[in-house]
Amino acid sequence: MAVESDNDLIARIRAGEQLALQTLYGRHHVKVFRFALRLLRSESSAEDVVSEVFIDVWRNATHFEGRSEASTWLLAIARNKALSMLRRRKEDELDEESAAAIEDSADDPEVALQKRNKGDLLRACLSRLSPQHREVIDLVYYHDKSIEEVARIVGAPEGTVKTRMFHARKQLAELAKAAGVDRGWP
Amino acid sequence: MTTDRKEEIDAIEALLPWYAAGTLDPRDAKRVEEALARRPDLRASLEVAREDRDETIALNEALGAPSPAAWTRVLAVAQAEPRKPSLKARLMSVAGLVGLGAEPHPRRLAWVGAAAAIVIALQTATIVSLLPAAKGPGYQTASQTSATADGASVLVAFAPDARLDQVGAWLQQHHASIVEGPRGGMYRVRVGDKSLTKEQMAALVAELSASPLVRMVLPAPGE
Repeated sequence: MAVESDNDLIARIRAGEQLALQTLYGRHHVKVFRFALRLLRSESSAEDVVSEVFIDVWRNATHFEGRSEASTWLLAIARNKALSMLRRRKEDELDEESAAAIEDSADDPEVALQKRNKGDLLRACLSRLSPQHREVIDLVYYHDKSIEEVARIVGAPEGTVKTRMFHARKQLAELAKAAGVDRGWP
Repeated sequence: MTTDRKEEIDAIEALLPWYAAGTLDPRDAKRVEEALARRPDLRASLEVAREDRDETIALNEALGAPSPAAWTRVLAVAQAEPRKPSLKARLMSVAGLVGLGAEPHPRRLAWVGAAAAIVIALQTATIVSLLPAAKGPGYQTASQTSATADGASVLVAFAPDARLDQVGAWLQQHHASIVEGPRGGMYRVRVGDKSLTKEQMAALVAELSASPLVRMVLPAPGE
């Protein structure tokens, strides 16, 4: 039996079918959650983003024109929600303690180095990237987004996306080098 | 081996992450493969990109998933705010049923709309042809019919997928007949041969509404 495409599911959501919404949620909620979590570094906030994204899908399914993949549309909505939350969080002026808790959510490269595991070290460095670089690395390597799709999600020209990715890789290499792992690039 | 211009090398270097992820379009993928065959330094850079990709996947896969509460909130909103499908959504749904895909070209969608309009017109004409002929020749206005006839009158909107034979059987089952319509998508239907009290009318409306063939039943004005 052929699997129903995401576009077909969205067409059924437009017609008011809750079951189609549930199926779409089942397919994408984990990746939307992880994308939001990497931006927000708060599980409860990322969970709120997931709910808000699919509530938006229910309310605004007619806005999806099928020019990109549904997952690209969902990640773009998630990104907007997460950035709004970050702006609100800034306005609330996080106290130093909670800010530190967010920063310390992963091992830093020095701790990872003590573990003497290259994989641990690189993952620690990935967590230390700037939010903009973390985002583009995740979209390309984890969410399998093409140059055009990343450009749609972050709302930037394709040339900017390529440059941003290059600098993200460079920042990652520098963090790794500073922690004692020189991979000979760049 | 080193004849590539710096701009070309930089352009290829910028494409390597997408090449490593397998999301590059075929034309650019070919460019990268040709450059990789010429330049070992690019192959080293590709290995670094692959390592970054593997660790990014491992990092994200370790992040877990949202709790069931996230879906509960979505469901609560979906149930509190049922969507009213737009005309476009209904046409697209029909387009999907007739094999035009979920996102048909607007011109095809217009043809679906025209075809649907013709089907509705034919359905209306056929239902009108079922109107009882016993009341005399020619068409009688609703006010004439309902004012002179005994029985209870209700307004009925049939489900879009109700077939004519099903509607005929449903009318027969309830000793009913269509006396007018459609107006605003509703038919005036006379049921039985006795006038009903308010309570009896409410019970009749509830009984008729239970059928999946009807979308809505209301007491006719004046009942």
